[in-house]
Amino acid sequence: MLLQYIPLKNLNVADDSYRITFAPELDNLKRSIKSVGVIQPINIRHTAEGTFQIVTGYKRVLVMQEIERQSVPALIHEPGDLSPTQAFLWNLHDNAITRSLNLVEKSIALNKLQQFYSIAEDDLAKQFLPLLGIEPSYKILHQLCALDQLIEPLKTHIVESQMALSSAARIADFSPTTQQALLAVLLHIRPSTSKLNELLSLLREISARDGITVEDILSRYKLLQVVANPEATSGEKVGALRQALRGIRLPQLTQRQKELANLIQNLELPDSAKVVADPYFENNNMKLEYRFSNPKELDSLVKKIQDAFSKQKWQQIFEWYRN
Amino acid sequence: MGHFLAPIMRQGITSMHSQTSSFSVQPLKTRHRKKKTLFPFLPEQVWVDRNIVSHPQTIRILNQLQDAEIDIVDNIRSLKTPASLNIAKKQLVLTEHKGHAFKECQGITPNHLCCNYRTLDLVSGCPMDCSYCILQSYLANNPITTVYVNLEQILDQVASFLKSNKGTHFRIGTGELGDSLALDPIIDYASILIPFFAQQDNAVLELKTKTNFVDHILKLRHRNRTIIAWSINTPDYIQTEESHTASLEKRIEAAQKVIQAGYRVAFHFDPIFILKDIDTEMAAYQDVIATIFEHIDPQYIAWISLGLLRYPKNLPQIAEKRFPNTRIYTGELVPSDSKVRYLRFIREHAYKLLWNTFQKYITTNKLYLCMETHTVWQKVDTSINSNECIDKRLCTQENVLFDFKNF
Repeated sequence: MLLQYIPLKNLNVADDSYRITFAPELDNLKRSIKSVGVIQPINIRHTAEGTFQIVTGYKRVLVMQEIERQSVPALIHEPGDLSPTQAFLWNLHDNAITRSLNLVEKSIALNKLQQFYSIAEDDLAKQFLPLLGIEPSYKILHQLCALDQLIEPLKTHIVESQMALSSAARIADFSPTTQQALLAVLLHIRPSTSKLNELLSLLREISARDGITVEDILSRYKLLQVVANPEATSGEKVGALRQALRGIRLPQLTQRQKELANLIQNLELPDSAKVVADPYFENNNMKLEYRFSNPKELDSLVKKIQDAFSKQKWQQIFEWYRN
Repeated sequence: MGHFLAPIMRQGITSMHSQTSSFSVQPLKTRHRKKKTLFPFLPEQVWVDRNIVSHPQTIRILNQLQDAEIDIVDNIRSLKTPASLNIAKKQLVLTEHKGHAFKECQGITPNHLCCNYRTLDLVSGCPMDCSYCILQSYLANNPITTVYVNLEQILDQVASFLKSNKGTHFRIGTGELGDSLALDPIIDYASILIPFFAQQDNAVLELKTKTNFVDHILKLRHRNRTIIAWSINTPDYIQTEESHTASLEKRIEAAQKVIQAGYRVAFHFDPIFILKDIDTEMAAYQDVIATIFEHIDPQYIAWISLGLLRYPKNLPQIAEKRFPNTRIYTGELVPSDSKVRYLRFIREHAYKLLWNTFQKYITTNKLYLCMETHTVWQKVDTSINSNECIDKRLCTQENVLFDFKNF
């Protein structure tokens, strides 16, 4: 091992054998290097072909290139001193214990361990997931490995939007063309994890049921226009998209819910009264909720209820249920 | 494993052809596309619980499995672990049932009318592979097909129960946690069960299957105490969703065979799928109904049940990984109790269409809905308003209190 300043042009930056870094945030590091220079030397590996591979310090090299420095302090390892597996583990530990890796970086790490360094699935789950700050779980391991199937712009979006693993893994199940179409939608909204998972499930189920692609669904029902509405907030867009997809996925249920909502509206109850029915119509039990603070308000409700009775409106609801 | 290959002794079961039928077998028209033949299940690996290594049933079963890898296991519970179902389905466990193998149907819920069925767990798991099978979820932590060899002990429990409830009549089935006949080419339990139930006066056994493995039971003495039942679906759904099962034609042919041997039969239209519009889907089921009655005389049918698809909430997640092309989970199903079911309006519409079709061929006293709500029953048949009503309907003189003068 030799410590020396090595010209940046001698480094093979394109060789990503040991790299897991994805979408790095370099601003703080750049400020630091500009201020005091590179404190920790990078580790590089001299190959039999005479090139130098970066083992640790990829971000430092990126910054040094960006600020147009000529050389960087490096510890040089000869091939016999540092095997490829050791080199990768150095990089992994160097990153994993000093910062929190994003989902894509975790995925890259696990996939490389499996594909290039032949680490068994059992060891990945039990040894390497805890190193990445994750409890040992085959489900999580499989989800993380699946992120390898994501197109690059979606990987970036997932990191930037801090998307949950469960959602990212669902998106990775779709074809690259579908991922591209989904990205166009996702760029307009910031749904919660549960909402996003529901939207993805709805799209997948409609696609399977109707034998059409997700792209076709988005285009046929003009769903991109739903989320591109500049007047609406992200929450409103998510709500509108969810409503549209549920209408397509569960047409009879949606229709029934609309019919019941109209019948309840016809009761003309006070605004603070709410008729709650089983959303899936499995039984005809209903609940009437009403907030009141004085006898007059209660009297108003009773009169409205009686009025609806006399106009057969309650009976209409129960008749509708029966049929 | 040479000691397992000792000559076998039949377990004192005498096969007697006790009844003949005047109903003739009609050749089936080949109107549906051919389905690949069901090969009898031959496990690649057999795990034998050390506690039952020398049990006569163990020896008898292992003698049928000379090509399988056989291992004796000290702690059989160590095999009860989540595993790939595709691998587990190639294996077999022989052990004993230590709990209650004979019990009330586990499908009973407070919100659904049930038929007071009783189940007998002799097998857990199934070598066939249906995309909708709830065992994928139910047996997720214990996926290897398991045969309980302490059959005589379990039947003693049944005999004792029936003896202490002489005034009541029971319908008992073995198809709760597995197919009643799929493993019979290896275990031949029907040859023990059928003669056993022939001796009972207040129960009938229902052997429910998707196979056509009936040749071995044709000459058994059954005294009409056993009903052979088939799960039925449309040829298209059998083809796409029921891997390794017999085709509809084969099931009907098998039903014809057992009728000729004097058995009565039952059909379970379950699960019924609705992926397209209801009328189109039900038309396909109505074709199946017509086909059945073209070949089966209704007088030999003990009962017919109808059940639309329902499943535990976690099943699609499991099944869609194993059957990526299945579309059955994309119907209009919604959460209801602990399961997911078709929307009530859809169920009512579908059941009414099929019920009306059945009425053209058979008395409604032989029809029932499996695990349906009171509300839905009232739309289909107002005479049924309790579990007891269904039980009474099915435990008729004809089905349970069989008149022995016919023998």
